[in-house]
Amino acid sequence: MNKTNVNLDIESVEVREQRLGAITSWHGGSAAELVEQASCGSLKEGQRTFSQCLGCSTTHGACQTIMVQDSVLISHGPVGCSSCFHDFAFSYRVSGANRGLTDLKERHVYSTNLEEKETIYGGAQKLRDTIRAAYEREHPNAIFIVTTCAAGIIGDDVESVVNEMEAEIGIPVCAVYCEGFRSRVWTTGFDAAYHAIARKLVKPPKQKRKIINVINFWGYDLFNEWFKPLGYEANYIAPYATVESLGYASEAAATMQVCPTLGTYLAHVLEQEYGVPEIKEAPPYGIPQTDAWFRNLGEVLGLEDEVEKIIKQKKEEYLPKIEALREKLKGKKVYVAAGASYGHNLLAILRELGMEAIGAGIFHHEPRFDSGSERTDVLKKVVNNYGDVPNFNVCNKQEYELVNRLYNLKPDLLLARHGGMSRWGAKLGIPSLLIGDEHFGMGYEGLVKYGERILETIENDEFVKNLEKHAFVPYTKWWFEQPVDTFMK
Amino acid sequence: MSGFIEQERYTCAIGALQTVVAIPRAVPILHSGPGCGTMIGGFFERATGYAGGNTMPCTNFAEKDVVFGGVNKLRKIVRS
Repeated sequence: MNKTNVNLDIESVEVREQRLGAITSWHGGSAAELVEQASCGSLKEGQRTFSQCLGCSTTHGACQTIMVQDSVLISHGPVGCSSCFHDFAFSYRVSGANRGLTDLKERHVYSTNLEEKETIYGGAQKLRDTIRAAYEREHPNAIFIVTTCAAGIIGDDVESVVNEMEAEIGIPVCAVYCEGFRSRVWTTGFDAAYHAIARKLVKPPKQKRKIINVINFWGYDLFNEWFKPLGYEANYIAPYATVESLGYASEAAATMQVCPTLGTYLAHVLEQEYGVPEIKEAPPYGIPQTDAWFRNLGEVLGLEDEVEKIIKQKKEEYLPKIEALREKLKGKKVYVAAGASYGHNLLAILRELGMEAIGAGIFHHEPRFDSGSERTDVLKKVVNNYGDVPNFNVCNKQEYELVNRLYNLKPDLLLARHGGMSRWGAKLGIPSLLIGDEHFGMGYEGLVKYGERILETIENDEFVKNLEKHAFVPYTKWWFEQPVDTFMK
Repeated sequence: MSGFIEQERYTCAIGALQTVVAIPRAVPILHSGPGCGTMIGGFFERATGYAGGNTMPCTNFAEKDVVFGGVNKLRKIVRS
């Protein structure tokens, strides 16, 4: 498959629909059929005649950039367009402890607060004022600007303001072009954030460092533990990174990503522009994939023998525990609602633990990633390793479809990754588990930890059973009797 | 005209839909871009009432609708 051409001279990154052929709705049958269609190029975006609220790119652009320790985030738009960013400020503070970071600076989010007048006369002056004030108040080492629909529609020339202000205040001012309406695939916001980081903050390498870039969210510090025996340190990007550590990402020995959906673009840019090899193997969830991923890591670092030792040692330590969990979880039916590719990874975890995947609603699907490598195709690996998944659809957080599926499939457990999805399981009396930390389920140890949490959730179902009796669901009986793809054109 | 805001304590006018969320058997329909529902849901910390949060129907306008108008999309969604 083709690689993406990287062009850091242009302001904004191409949206995922065009760059990767990503889709957000598909009701074609099973996971294997989706993989088949994606690989032969016949994948077609379905059209919904009814839709509930989606996510948007600006949130995803913000969730990475707000977490850079010595930076400040400005939302260039109406006040409502940064209304949920306090959630990220909260995650930043809480999850920092999992990285051993306790002395973190509170996140201050700025909004240019565009109003009626600016939508007519332009918001450039307000943006200038905000950048200046943010600099004076916080003295950050970089400022990020996330753009919004309103700023995009009125056609504000953000790039000129940014360049002008950069010259005035003398620190990098990075514009993240992530207007919500530009792309149906909200993860385009990640690419926009990383495009800005690659353009403005990553510096050309001067030397090689014994570090491995880890493109991730805000999971616990697993990778330093894994890399230490190999003699490397993790360079976490972008949450909890600093402007300096992003700068020397080009000097790393390799780049890995906890989720190809998150890191595909930056990992590819670092390889293309600065020759930092990307670990292309899909992330280490489930035994076959953990082994494959570690071997890929060994291959890139030239440490094949050491990696084999680690795999052997982990097998000895964890396989008996995994086997014991399999006994207890055998035959449980599970439905998965999560984004790609974390949802695919959840499918691997639950089947590795002996459970049955009876369906999945994954928010979007990328038939290829920026590197063009087939090794990154997570869903294909899952299907090859564990077999097909029935009732598989690509569904961009449409709750009405999820509720219909849960009601008709009646799983023993719902695995979710996003707030708002798991509550439907609970309302229907289905034990639901939401673990936000991607690092939690990784490797052999991850299988044990995840298995224990699943067991706990299934065994303690009293609460959801009670909730079912008292919860109201706004959907009618009519809807539950309809096929889930009723509103697909 | 008010200036920029540091650490906002209020949201935009779309927040008004949260009033509808409090009414049983009433469903607000958002005629907006794709992220507006998430923003409001986040602002009210996912207080979803009868049909709030991600349950709200939304036209999720895209680039095409910004140029050619999205009224037909709104008609369609009210009908379904």
